[in-house]
Amino acid sequence: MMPKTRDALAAVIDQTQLGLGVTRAEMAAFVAKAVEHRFGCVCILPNMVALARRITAGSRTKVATVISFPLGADVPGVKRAEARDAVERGADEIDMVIDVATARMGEAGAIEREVAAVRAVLADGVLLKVIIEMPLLTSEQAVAAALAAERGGAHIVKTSTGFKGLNIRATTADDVRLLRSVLQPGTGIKAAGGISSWPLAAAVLDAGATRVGASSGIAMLDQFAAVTGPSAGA
Amino acid sequence: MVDLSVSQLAAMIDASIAGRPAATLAEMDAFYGRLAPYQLAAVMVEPRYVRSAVEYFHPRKQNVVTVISYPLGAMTTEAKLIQMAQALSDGADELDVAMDLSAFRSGDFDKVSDELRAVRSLAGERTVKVIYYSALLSEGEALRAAELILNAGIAFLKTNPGYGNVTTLAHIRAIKQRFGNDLRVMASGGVRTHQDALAMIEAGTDRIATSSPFAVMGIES
Repeated sequence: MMPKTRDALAAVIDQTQLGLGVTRAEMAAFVAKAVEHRFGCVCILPNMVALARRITAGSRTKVATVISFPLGADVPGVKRAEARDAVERGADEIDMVIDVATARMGEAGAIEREVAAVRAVLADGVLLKVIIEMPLLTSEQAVAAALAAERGGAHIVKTSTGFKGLNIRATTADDVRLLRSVLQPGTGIKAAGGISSWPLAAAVLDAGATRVGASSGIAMLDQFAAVTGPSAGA
Repeated sequence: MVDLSVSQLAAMIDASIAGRPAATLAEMDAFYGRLAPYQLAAVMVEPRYVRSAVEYFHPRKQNVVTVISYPLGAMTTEAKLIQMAQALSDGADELDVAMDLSAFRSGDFDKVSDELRAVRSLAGERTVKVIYYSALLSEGEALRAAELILNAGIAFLKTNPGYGNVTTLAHIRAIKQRFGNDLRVMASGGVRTHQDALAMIEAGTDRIATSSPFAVMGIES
């Protein structure tokens, strides 16, 4: 759904900082700014969850963290323990990476089981996003992985880690359309990976994304306001 | 330049599969098969493949190494220990554990040390190397990190996680000059050819992590 106002756009952006070696002071500033801009969520690494949670307290900004990120190459029990640890530290949302190898091997049942294992340790109200890493999958593998994630209890299917070290392609509007065409209407879609401007965000939102993951959310809000004019900037 | 036989080089190599994120079991099996004729320092696999690698390589007296909190080092200490416990129970002989670079850069050296002591303690007799991201640190910072690691009871360094972070010869020399034989160091990141490897060894590296083991051994260009 296309947001009509800057504030509505901020609500669907996961403002993201998953960089290596960010200091606590840098992270504190990043989260404070995200709160100021009223982003719906910040997406950060697990060792920053407690810090972020203190800064977002009392705001509408939720704290999401990543599990088995970025490779997803852990057994389900480890992912489950990581998720439990993150929630105990105050994470409101969990972005877990599937075992992408199983998706490439066509083992949908394994994906469903690992997602269910993580979902089982989340308290009510904690949102589960499942990253299927579409750039490494064929369309058929992506569809099978997305449906398995949904069966396992994902609230949202997320297109990609966007991890630069993997040298993978960006998420496209076609990726989102493909997921939208097979997932239940109540299952959300988070588009992430290379979505670095308002026009790119607009394309994935138009294709059916309910969230956008971006490390450049503030620039996106500014571009949106510039295009739509001051009436929408409020 | 130093001159080493294939088997001498093999014994210094931690070999990982090249260019294949999310490798399938069939792809891993093919990789295992190619490595089988050589006695490597270790075969590197992701945590989900430790069991399969152990099953294949332990009968061949070949060590298996896996990575913890890889490649970002940003899991909590508790989560790192859980991941380690799984890898140990799956049979990993060695663990390459990524340091919390955020804590280090924030000057929270106690947090870094406490985590590494817990890691050391859980690993028991098994070899631990600590990834400390030399490519992202100044020389002074890198030496400070090495000192913290050594003081936590871990005497084996792994320079980088790969992913484009290149280890320089100058850095290996600086580590060896400062710590001599108190520390072993594995050069990781950018070691792709036989010549790269020989230069690293001449600079003092004790081990080489590479996804090009056959080129490094000089049996394939």
